[in-house]
Amino acid sequence: MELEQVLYQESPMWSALRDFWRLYRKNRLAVWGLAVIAIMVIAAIFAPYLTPYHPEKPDFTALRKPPFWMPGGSLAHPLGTDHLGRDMLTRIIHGGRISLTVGLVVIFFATSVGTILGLISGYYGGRIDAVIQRIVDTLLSFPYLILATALVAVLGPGLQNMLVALAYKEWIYPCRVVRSEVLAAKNKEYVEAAKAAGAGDLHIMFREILPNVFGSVIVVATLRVAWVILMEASLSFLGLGVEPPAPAWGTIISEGRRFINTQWWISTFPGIAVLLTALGINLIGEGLRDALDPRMR
Amino acid sequence: MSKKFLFHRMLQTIPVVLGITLVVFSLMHLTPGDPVETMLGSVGHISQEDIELIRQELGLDQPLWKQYLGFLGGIVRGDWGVSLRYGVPVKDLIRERLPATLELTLAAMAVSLLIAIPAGVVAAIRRYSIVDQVSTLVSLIGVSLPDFWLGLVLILIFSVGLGWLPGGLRLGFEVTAPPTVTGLLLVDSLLARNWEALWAAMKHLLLPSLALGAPLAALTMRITRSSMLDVVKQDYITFARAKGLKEAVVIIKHALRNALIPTITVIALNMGTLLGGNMIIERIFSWPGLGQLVVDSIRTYDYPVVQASVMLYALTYVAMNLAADLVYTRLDPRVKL
Repeated sequence: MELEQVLYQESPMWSALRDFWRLYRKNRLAVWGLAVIAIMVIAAIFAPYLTPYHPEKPDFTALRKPPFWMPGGSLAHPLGTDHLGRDMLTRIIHGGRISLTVGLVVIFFATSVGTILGLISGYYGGRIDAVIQRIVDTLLSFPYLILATALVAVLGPGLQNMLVALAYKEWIYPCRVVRSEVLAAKNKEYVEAAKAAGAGDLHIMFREILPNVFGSVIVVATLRVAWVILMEASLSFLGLGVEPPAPAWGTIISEGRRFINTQWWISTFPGIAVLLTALGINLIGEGLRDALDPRMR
Repeated sequence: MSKKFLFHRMLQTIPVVLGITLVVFSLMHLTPGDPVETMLGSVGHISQEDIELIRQELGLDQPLWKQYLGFLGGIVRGDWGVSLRYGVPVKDLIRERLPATLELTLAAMAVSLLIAIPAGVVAAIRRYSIVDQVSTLVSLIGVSLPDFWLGLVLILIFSVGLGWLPGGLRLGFEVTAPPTVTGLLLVDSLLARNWEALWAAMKHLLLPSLALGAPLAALTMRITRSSMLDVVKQDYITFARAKGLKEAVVIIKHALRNALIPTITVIALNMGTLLGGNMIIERIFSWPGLGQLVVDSIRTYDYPVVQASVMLYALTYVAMNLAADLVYTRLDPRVKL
């Protein structure tokens, strides 16, 4: 009796979440990925309160200090300082703000646009599908980084233009996935039933099909965040991203290149930050795939 | 493979190629300000007359559709314009830089396949073993690595730290280059029997091709593993084993051959990553290839060079894709469009 009451009180969303977590938890690495990213996100949000230093202000009393375990290093600057005496840890934490923001914003826009176009393309088929798919094929032909670089060069550097340059091609990935899922779902009974009940196209696309392909959308979107963060780092490395002295990870790596013979830590640590972030997100993506895709169970 | 399929597949590339020219063409016209003024921004004072002259030279005074047609005509005729920065035909610049990029790309491909395919096969055969788990993690790290950073770390370890391998350039200054025949240093030094140059060229190639090939290797490994796992379950593998064939023969001759089909497609589809990657890897290793040319041209607003090389990259991708589809149908007779 008691057990039944508990079950009844649970809202459907809560129990769905619990089911999801039970499946997700099976993938150990995915749980680790989630932990890493959670720490990164929290660090990014509270960046100004975590260290006593400013990420951009030079400190000429503490130039090129090595990390704490090397002779000459101290715990005052655990990861050392750069050629302008700025604390590496502070800069890396603030860099996370840039990378995560770019990743999330680009993926949010690309996924929204790509999902809608994918729904239209798959649902209506015919000429509109052909047009959208040829646009997708065309954009697919351009190497990602080269197209983004050329666009930034044309639009000018800076955060906003970088977002545009990345989203320009990014939407095609969710679009392709959604389209193929829609093609598979189109002839299922539930769609037929909705049609027979007199539902309009919009209702069928957004109310019937979309909830059923949502799992795949989430998986693709997650995995693509990692890629966008790598591309943001590459653009910043080439000097085409957020402009210095803003501490984007790619920018710090690029600055440190000049000192690679002597102050190796300047280029090394931000690279590890990029790696850990991308790896964490990829692991989460794999875990989501296991948990959300019924075919993988 | 039917002729009809071939024809249909080729037909599909036409709108894509046209789309590519349109995107490349529009790159120049997306500029918020005046393209000529942007290009000349770094030069300093230029009279209004000169600007008009350059505008005429580039055809910018004509209506947009006429410019586009002129642009298309130029591509077809092989007239890709003149570099604003170097004052030489873009075609010559690209021809000069292409072999270096080609050599690096091929080397990166070779390195990544040599690592990835055996690793993928072993991971699939010894599924859930330590080898499998380690290689899965390594391949996940591989796709999460910023390639430019990997390049820097390789230089840091093998060049700065250990001093084993050079950290840049194609040959170094101590070795005399072989006479140019193909432009590929490995081939040229072989032809000239210049062993010293061959050795030097190989040493210079190793680090950049590792850095460039790592993401592709990671991806190839995962695909090889999963398609091997699919193939091994098939009846004909059980049958081959039941016939009493040696396990090595079964795996290599019967399983791997079929498992390679999806692998080839994935490699072709990811050529873009490789081509895009060499833009940044060439920069790090001071490799005098096309990728460096593109970055430099983008930074100096040398639009004709940017347009031509971006287009070359895209067309290469289309051609690779087409080739992969054709190979695919050749290897797997079930595929028909």
